[in-house]
Amino acid sequence: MTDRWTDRLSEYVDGQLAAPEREELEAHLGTCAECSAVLEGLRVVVERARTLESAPPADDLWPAIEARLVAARSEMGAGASAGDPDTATAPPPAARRSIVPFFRPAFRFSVSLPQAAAAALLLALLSGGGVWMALRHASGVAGNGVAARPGVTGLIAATGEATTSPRTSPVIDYVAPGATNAQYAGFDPSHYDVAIAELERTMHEHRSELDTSTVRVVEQNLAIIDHAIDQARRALAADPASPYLNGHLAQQLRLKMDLLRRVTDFAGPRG
Amino acid sequence: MMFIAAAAFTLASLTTHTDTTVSVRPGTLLDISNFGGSVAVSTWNKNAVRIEADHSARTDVDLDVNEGAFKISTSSRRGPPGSVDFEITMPMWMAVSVTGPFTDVQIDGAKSGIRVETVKGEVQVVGGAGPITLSSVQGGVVLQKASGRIKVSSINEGITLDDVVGNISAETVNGDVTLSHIDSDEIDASSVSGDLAFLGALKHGGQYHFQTHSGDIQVIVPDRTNAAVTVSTFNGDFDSNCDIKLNQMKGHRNFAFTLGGGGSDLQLESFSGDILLHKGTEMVNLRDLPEVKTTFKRHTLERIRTVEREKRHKARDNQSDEDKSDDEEK
Repeated sequence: MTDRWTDRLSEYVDGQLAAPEREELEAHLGTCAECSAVLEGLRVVVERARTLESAPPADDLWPAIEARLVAARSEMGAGASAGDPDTATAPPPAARRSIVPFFRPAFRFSVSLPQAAAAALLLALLSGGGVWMALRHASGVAGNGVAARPGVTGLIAATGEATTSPRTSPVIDYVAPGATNAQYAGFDPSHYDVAIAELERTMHEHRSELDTSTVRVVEQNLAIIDHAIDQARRALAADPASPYLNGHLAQQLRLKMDLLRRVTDFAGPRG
Repeated sequence: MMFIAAAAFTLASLTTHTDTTVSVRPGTLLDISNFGGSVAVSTWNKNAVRIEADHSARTDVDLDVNEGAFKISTSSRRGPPGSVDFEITMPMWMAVSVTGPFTDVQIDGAKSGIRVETVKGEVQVVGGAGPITLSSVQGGVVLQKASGRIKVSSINEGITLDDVVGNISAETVNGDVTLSHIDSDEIDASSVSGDLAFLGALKHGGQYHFQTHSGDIQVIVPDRTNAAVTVSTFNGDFDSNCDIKLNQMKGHRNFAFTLGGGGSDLQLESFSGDILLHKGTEMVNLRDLPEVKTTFKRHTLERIRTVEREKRHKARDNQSDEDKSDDEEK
């Protein structure tokens, strides 16, 4: 049960209530055990938040988050079909530990105010690693035609790939495979550069977890893409207005991001 | 000799052969997860899955049947599981998913959705209907006689699709993409350093996008093809035996034209490779025809430029005629 004060408790903890309201709420707390309990919970969360340092998320946070986001996508319209190995059934837990998880269980949840506060805290902690996570998530979660999720600042580029822009990072105007050159209008390569740098850092951190020949092959292919990027950039410098060259550069950058993302995805299973 | 015999005996005693058959209900998904080795899947008409596997005694084959999914996986009490060679026989109707970082995968005869994901393994699939997603990093991907929504990718090897019906996405970095006998109204094929080849018909309303950085592109279409074609290259060349009606010249290596009455959308892009659009029924080996191709390329480009020049002159003449008649009326 909630009353009219339940939703104001967070403001009270933050000292944002006007004096008359604060006094009224304090009087109410003297008679309402439920609000007192919620308030206590909120204070614990806030106190813990003060003692934590902002840090990038641990890698193993991602599968659970991704699974939830994918489940949210399923609910938005990608229903299960009998012949579709992507969506047919929920897996046993072990099945989720694969190169890229194939099965994601559908789920629903509701949150109480303290849970919402805890979720906000979690989001704040995640923000430092937001770019990396957003990019890992971009290809696996947001499919064509999927709307941006509530609570995520995003844009739907080209054929509908959702992208996120955490507070600490620029908007990544991720361009989907198959986008036409006209859809690259306003494309800014520097956004990719930031994302690619993050992914490269992550890949290097996971390097020791990968098969050595796989690392070699990945590096060879990254070099091929880098060469293509370099050539495209030079051509673009001579003809900056060319839709084809803009599109071509964006495509190479996207490929590089996808490859790096795949590497970080399959780093896990070997360990 | 004694030592070799003893070693062989020891090896034999350490190797285990698993052979078991499990009944499954229609609609059940088969989910195979194998760390290393191979997975060969074939089909039969029984509602059952037969699992044959050769593996070391230290590696277990785990079977887990639950509502809607039959999971086959490997495990070891110490460290990652060892190599396991699976031979699986499943019902034709069964959708199948195979994952394994160091696993070669072969699937033959499936009539439902297929998903394969490996890092260091070859993927060969014959059959499949519905969503088909195949990917490898260090291995090639081959798909034949399949239909549905198809997504195939590799990183360091080629992709081959033959006798395939449906929407196709094919992407690799350092390999060729070959699509032959394709019936599709949506294709998106790309590589960075590899060649792209397509043999098939372009359907009315269809969209076909071929993009490579340094590879060549060849698209072979039937005689009476209708398409709006866009060709883009930075320093490659274009070659065609088609009757081209030029629409737009955006630069000497970036132009659009119409084949027949248009109706489908064909985009051909290669940064530094050559682009060939031919009418025909067989693929052309580009490397076998360097001289003919060069001559024809020059001819084609020159013809395009001439047509463009004529269009400009004609437009100017028309304008001056209109101006004259306006003056006369006054």
